[in-house]
Amino acid sequence: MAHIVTPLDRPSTYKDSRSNIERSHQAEMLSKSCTLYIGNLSFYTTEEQIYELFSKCANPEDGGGLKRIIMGLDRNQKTPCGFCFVEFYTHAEALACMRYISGTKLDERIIRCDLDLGYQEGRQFGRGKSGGQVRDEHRTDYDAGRGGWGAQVAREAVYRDAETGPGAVATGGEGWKQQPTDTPQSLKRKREYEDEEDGEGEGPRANPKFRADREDDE
Amino acid sequence: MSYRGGRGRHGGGRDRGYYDGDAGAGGNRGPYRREQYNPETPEQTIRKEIYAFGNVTEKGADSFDFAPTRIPPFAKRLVSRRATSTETNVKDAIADAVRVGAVEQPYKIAAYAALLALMVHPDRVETETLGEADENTESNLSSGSSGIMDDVVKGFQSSLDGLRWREIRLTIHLFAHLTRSGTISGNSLLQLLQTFIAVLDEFGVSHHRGLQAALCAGEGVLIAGEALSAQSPEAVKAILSSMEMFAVAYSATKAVVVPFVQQYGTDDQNDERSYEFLNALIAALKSLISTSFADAELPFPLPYAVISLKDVDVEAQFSLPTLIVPPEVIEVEGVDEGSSEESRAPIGAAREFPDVYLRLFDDEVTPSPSGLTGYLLRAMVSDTINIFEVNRREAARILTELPRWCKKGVLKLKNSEGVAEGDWQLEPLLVETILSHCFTMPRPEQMPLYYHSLLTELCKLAPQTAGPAVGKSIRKLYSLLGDGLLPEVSRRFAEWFSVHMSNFNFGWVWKEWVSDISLPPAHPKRKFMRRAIELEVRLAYFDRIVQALPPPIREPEAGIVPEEAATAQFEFGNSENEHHQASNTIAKLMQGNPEQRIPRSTPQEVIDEVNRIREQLAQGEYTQEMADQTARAITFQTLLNVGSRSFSHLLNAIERYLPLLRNLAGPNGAKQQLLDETQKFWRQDEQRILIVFDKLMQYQILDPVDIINWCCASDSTVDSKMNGHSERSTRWFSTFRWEALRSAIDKANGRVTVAKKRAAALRKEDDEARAKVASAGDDYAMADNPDAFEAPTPVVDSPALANALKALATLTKEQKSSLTAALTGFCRILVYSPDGLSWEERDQWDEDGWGSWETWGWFRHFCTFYCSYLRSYANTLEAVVFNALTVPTGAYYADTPVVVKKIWSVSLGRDEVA
Repeated sequence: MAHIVTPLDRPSTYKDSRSNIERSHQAEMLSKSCTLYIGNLSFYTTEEQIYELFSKCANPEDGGGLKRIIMGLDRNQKTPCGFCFVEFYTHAEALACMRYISGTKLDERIIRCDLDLGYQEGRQFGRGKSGGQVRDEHRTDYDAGRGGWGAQVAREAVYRDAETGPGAVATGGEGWKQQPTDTPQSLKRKREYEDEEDGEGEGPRANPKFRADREDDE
Repeated sequence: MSYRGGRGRHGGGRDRGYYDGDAGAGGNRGPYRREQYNPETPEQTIRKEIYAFGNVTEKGADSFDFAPTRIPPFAKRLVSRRATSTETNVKDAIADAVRVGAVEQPYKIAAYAALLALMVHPDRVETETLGEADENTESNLSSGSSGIMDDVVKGFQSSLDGLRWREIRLTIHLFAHLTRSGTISGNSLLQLLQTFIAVLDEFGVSHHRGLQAALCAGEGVLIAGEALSAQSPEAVKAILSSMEMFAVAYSATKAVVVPFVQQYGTDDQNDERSYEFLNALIAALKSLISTSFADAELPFPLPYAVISLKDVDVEAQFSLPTLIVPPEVIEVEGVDEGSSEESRAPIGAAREFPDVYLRLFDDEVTPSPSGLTGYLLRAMVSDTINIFEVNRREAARILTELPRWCKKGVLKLKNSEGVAEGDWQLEPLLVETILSHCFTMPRPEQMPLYYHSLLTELCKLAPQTAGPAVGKSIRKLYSLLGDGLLPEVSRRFAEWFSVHMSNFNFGWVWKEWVSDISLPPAHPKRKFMRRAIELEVRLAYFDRIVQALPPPIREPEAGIVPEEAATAQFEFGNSENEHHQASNTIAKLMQGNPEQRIPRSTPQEVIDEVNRIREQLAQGEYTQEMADQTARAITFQTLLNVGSRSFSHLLNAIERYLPLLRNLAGPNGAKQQLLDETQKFWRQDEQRILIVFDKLMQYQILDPVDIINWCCASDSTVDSKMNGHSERSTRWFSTFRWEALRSAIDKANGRVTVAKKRAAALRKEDDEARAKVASAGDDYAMADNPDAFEAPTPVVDSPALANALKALATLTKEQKSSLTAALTGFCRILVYSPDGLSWEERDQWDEDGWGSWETWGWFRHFCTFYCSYLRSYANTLEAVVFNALTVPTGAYYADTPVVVKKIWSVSLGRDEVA
């Protein structure tokens, strides 16, 4: 039912500028993506506030749920810098957020959601010179919710232990075990990018190939 | 104002593709293609023009008035185009686009009907009105007209084949208008409607199918009744009586989905605070039939009547062909065709209850749904809401433009002097419809958040008019609390309230409700205030919300707001605590020290430390059991504390120490303790408890059934004055317990859903692989050895499929035990319902009165919400749970077993259990 209007859950012009993946492949990945980039957050917005709003689009009855939230951090200060990634277990949940949450308020700011290719190590940190987001370095307005003119005001150092490198960010868990007898090792971080769509249920699953390719791209 | 769907907003060719299932085909339909030249095909251009027909964007258009004089020239142009076009698909697209335009924009159906009427019979108006004539006009018009209705019927057939009920029903609206305009013969429409009525008599027809078919037939009569009556008044009456019989058969079911529950009283079937959709249609039809459609004036302008078309000879009228309503396909693919209960359990939930909607305004403000105007306006609003679910902004815009598509004077509009004229206000009608759909029991048609954000958009578009309507609705809903409004409706109300306030600066006039702080704490109004504030705080900050509250509500003594913002309650964090040191050691192991480059310890290292602590405790004055429990409490709470800073910290802590958690959860009773410790640790913060539970289930430290059992047990040892809603000192169910229970049941059901899909996909793969082998084998066999056919290889599932089926069997068992635990839990609580309560004396009720009332409400919701799952295990559940259901000594309400079984059997549509 979408002959008359453009659905709100289409991918927009947002993209990961450092991604080397071919555009046509990116489009295909987005059409399955379970991850959202969330922008225009207040620097003070907590993960719990994000969880509260986005879990309203979770659909555990369909095997979905809110898998994880990755706060965007200032590279130097390790404090939130106004964006995050929200990952669900299903694509449909991500689309629901695009339709019902993007453009509404959280913490009294109008936030925007975009389908994302999927979180990769290091993307939790701002890429601006100052350590924050690039787009904030171009801003000329005063914005109290974001610490004003890009200034770093004292904020609770919730993320002072934020790390770089593998294993810094939780994977959000797997689907449940295929067999009740699975060994604990199968839940190791190595399988972090296993995807329900790609897994095909081949017993204990190896890293999907395309994931390895993508790492080579980095 | 525009519909924005029109030209040029997005790179042309993608408009259709995305939802037609060919997105990404060939890899050239991506989001980053904007810069590429992607011209529209002629077919797309003509379709868009037809869809945009009548839009406000047209030059010189009055935003509240649509001029029917624009129809004839457009009709002529389309017909000539149809006759002369040589471009691909354009000829076939034109009539189809008119049909699509109508079913996707139900407010324009009458206008599209007029367009079609003229396209089919261009000679029904004087040639001049069609615009300039030229030599070829005459012949073009006749060749362009032929086959138009066949094209429309073709589209209708495809909706039928897919059983897309809304499309079917709205195409019938189009047919009904075309019958009124004389294009379609009344007799053939009558036959079509009778086809739908025949569905009601099918053996074992599902409620959903029957209801949709009844609405199709009934709404067809509502629009074209006069023309149909002229054919055969008896046939029209027969349609009505079939509908009535169908409605009566389901009237008992209505009792479990009305938004009110009056335990300890007699439920009022004729409660005017809500209405059932099919019954409203029947009532509207009845009054029309009783006056032989004398007052059958539709609330919409009928352009085909306005432009006074010439009559069509009966022989020249189009006769709708005889069609059939295809049967529903029941999908059981991928699952063993065994007849065990498990294999028949459904995927997902079905809509199988009558649609009962709340009324929030009086008949003077919004038209009664059981009248022609009220019914059709509501149907149009609700169809529009559902169709435009993909774009709430457009939905809101279109809804505010509805007066354009209604007859003058139906909806209030400001005249030139700024005075509103008309019978009804638009915004209350919209807000009432949106909210009543959001609060439909047991499940709303769309995700509740859609309704929330649609209302937000509406208020942004029309703050002056929609704002007050929302305010009045909140007051009305609040006034229904304590007056029987179902706990689930109250829960959804609080959820919407908090989201709405979050979008509008938390600006509610709390002053109005100050006097209600004197009500007993268990009163639904008090509970609502507490919960609404708690949800607001979750979306914002404690100080932000609490400071905006008027003093009497803000005072901790009022019992509405906690004294302080929720924080973790870490009992071992206090240096006075005797186990502080032990906890500290574990915390250090778990955290490491980045500055001193001390890495985090491995799970095994922590396990070793926990063992050491346990032994140490056991050597002291602790029994082995106490030592075990204390060590578990210290370790688990320390882990929660390490993860207390944020959701991600928790997730990281859980993931790093999964082996430790498995170790802690292993022994008997340990899982219940982990749940208790979570509740103790986060007793001020219900959201955090639910997150911990969810993730512990996700990582299979806990099973859904553990959480269900925990929810159904009360814990009188917990001291709770103002510890959020997570308190369990009372045995009665609360919103918090429902949410915890629901997340556990959903998890169990979701796992089965995923496992079924996986098995189905693998089975398909298997079958395909086998077919490939078989066909490859054929050639050889034919060539070399004809005897090969006699020894077919036995069918063996691939290891992956065998595994998947095994997993499915395990998960299905878990699902069954989860549902059993929940039903058992409810029964165990409900047998303690106090005796001698009376609904009429509810202002005297105390905690037990309201608590048990609420539990009954949640139980009813449980039975209806999960009915499709429960039904698959009904025989077992009845045998296991109900046979053991006796009223223990100390329980008062001796009727409990009878009432429980009644709610159960009505919800599941089963014969009463003895």
